[in-house]
Amino acid sequence: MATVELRRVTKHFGETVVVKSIDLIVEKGEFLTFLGPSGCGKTTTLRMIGGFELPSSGEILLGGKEVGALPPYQRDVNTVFQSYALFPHLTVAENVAYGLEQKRLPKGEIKQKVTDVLAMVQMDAFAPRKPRELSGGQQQRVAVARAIVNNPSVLLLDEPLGALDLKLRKEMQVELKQLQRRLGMTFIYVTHDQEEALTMSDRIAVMHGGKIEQIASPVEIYTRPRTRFVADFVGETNLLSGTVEGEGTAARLIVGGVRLPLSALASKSAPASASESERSAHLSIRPESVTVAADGEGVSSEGGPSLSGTVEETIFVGSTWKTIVRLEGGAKMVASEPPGSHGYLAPGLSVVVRWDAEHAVLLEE
Amino acid sequence: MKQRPAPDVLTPLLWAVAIAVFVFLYLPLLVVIIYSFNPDAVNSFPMRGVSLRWYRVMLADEALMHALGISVAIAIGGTTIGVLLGVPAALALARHEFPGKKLLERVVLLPLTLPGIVTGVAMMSLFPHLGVPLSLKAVLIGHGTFLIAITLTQVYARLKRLDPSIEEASADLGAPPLTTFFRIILPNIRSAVVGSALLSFTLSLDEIPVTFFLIAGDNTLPIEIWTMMRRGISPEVNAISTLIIALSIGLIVISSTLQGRGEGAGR
Amino acid sequence: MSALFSKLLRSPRRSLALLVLPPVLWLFFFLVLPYLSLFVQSLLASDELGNVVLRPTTDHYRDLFTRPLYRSTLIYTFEMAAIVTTLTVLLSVPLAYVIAFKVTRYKELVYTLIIVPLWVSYIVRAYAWKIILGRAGILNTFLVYVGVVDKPVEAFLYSQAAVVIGLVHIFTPFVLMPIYSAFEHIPRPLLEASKDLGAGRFTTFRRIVLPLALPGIIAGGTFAFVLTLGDFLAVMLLGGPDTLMISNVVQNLFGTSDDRPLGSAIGIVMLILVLLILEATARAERAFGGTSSGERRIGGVKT
Repeated sequence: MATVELRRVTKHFGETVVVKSIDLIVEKGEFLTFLGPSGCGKTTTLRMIGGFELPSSGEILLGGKEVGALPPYQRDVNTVFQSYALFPHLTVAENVAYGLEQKRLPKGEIKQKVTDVLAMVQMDAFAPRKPRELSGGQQQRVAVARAIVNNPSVLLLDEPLGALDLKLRKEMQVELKQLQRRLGMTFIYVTHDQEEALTMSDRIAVMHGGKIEQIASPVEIYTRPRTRFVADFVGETNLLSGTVEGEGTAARLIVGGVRLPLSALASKSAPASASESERSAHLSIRPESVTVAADGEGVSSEGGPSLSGTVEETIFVGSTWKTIVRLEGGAKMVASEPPGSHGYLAPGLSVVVRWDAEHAVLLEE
Repeated sequence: MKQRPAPDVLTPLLWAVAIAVFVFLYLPLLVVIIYSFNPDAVNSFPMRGVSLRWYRVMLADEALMHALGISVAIAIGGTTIGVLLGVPAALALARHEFPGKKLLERVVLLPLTLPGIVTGVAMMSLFPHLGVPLSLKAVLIGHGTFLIAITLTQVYARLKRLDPSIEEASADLGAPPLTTFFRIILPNIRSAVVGSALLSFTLSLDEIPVTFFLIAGDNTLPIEIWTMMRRGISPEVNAISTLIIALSIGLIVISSTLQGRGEGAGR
Repeated sequence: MSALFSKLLRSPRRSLALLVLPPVLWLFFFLVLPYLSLFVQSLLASDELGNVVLRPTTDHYRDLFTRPLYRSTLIYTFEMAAIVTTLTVLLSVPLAYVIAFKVTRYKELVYTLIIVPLWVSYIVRAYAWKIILGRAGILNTFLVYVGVVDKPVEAFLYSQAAVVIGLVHIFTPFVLMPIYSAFEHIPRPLLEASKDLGAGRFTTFRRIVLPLALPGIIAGGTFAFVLTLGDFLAVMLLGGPDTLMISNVVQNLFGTSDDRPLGSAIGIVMLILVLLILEATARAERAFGGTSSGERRIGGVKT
């Protein structure tokens, strides 16, 4: 039985539809992340699972039971808030004990659990302190402890690392992931930081305009994005627009007059549209899959896709050469190659851009 | 090129005026206090000696003491009404949206912005039709009504500075709304509530215009003093006035100490 | 079943209703209805015997503005308000300025000292002037004692001057508070910049401090004006037979003269007047840069 299920869940505020009919199943023990830009509906969806917003329509099921109308205090769900929301007038220990007190557990048991969970997040020494005496990172840990000590079936995390500095964030990402694995608890995480999502998640649900555009593992999201938005939002990518001609192994993408061979997968999934002869499509190629060589040099690919252009800019970023090439059609492509692949390519140089067709993804829209 | 500094006539002059105004504000009060110890019945200059005579008279004045008791009772009652109605109203305004919000804010403040006499005659005209004849009950209701605004404004301001997520966190952790109110909201607005209560108490004790039109037989303290003044000058009034001055200063000290400490940060 | 019940209960509307209904109901019956009834009462006629008759009329409003007695009282009240406002502002500005700019240590303490008189009962402060200005009062006995006059001066108390002095004394702390606040919020770097550019102290005051403090001064002046309009106690304690203000007339009409409809009409006119004045000055304050939050940037410096 799924831990969390959303069926056609929709939310509108007045005239604006913020969440458009979302279907989702979250499995037990999974680390699922809602990833998207601000305004995409990810936080609203999370809040509906938590009970802080009522869905306008659709059903939300926790452990198989419909809970859409239940208030937060009657759901077996706990939340780590973006602002931590620690109770300022209570100590760290009292904060953590709060949820357990609502369950009317015996005092001795509460005390033990509080001590244990604070040790788990390395905050046991701070038990008698007040939140205002703690740093951001420390408050964040207490917020996590306060939530997980109640052993909810689902833990919701609303951009919990947003206020931390970069180094601390990266540390906390690892810690949270390890914690989740250790506890085997289902985590639903919200962030706009795609690197964070890629680092921590078992699955990522990329959201845009109130809809889930793709939900898959991080590897899948990165290497096989389904839509232009996903390809562009997660990591850097090159987008080539063209029309598809032919079918099957003979299918070609025509970009700026050049016929490009497609991968086996792409050929199969080439879009069918009204007019047979002209089908517009987009190709996504990650910069690390692209190579640049001066005209005339480099391995002549056996029919692999390639385009000609001139170098606009070359940047050495230490671990990679980043080359921006202006194609004949006017579009730009970015290549990201290891430092040993070639020397400095001067701007204005004529070059050929190549990639392995298997690494290029044909997008749905 | 900078001007050569002119001889500093301005600053001493400024200080002189400022001190003069300060004296103007305080001297009359000091006079009242000093002359409360006047052994004579007439406020003449200079004072011939010091005496506690008028304090004794004041304490023996039954009507005055009765009025004091009534004022305190009404102040406590009015403050209670103001707080009991002001806190929920502040919560509603700070955490919810509803039509007529702005109107409510304006209406609540009316008794404070309008001259007391207008509110007084308005209440006097209607209360009997509501089954509240002119009496101490009417005074109590009248005070309670304008005191709502005192608590509402202070608690509202405090709530605005408080992170609303902590209320959601409380619900998230399993607390029903009433528990959230008593365990989370109330402790964090405590100083605002106490401060408003103190201020309300003082305002009620001192209130004259609205009370003037709502009383029937029994007098509140200011009205009783007023009546004494109308009868003529008596240093007994000096004595009770001195007591009021002392009480007021005491309440200010308590109030600013409380505000100085405040609660912990809102986050 | 319990899910449905919970849904009803937890609907945000329910908890809102529980919160907002008691205060709203109370205010409706004990505040809104009274003001409304005052308005209604002002439109009722009186017959020859002075009884209230259920016949609508705007006579009372007409009387207020046409009958010489009421009109002159209204004008006199406005004069008094103007005088009191001017004096309180003139007294407050130097004192506020000195505390804000010239007092370094114990500033909080000094300011609190100024505010203390505010907390002392109105009646006590008015009484103080009674015993100072009276025929047998302290001022008179002092003047006789030092030989300035032969016998006590009658004219101090129960005069327009006494009322003015009393009101100015009572209202000055009210007026001082916003002016002081305005002075405090002027960023000091602006004054230093002004001096650096060669302006003398008075010029700095005239061209920098005063304009920036204007919203506060307007606020303070408004307090004094509105408070004077509505005051009836000072006249009763310190004034004479010819110093009646409009609020005394209202008090009379609801008391011994017993003409409630006319009194109500005057009350409603006062209500509208005060609301208009408050709206006008609020706009003036905004126009001169004041904001209700009190926080703004002046010359790039956050105040």
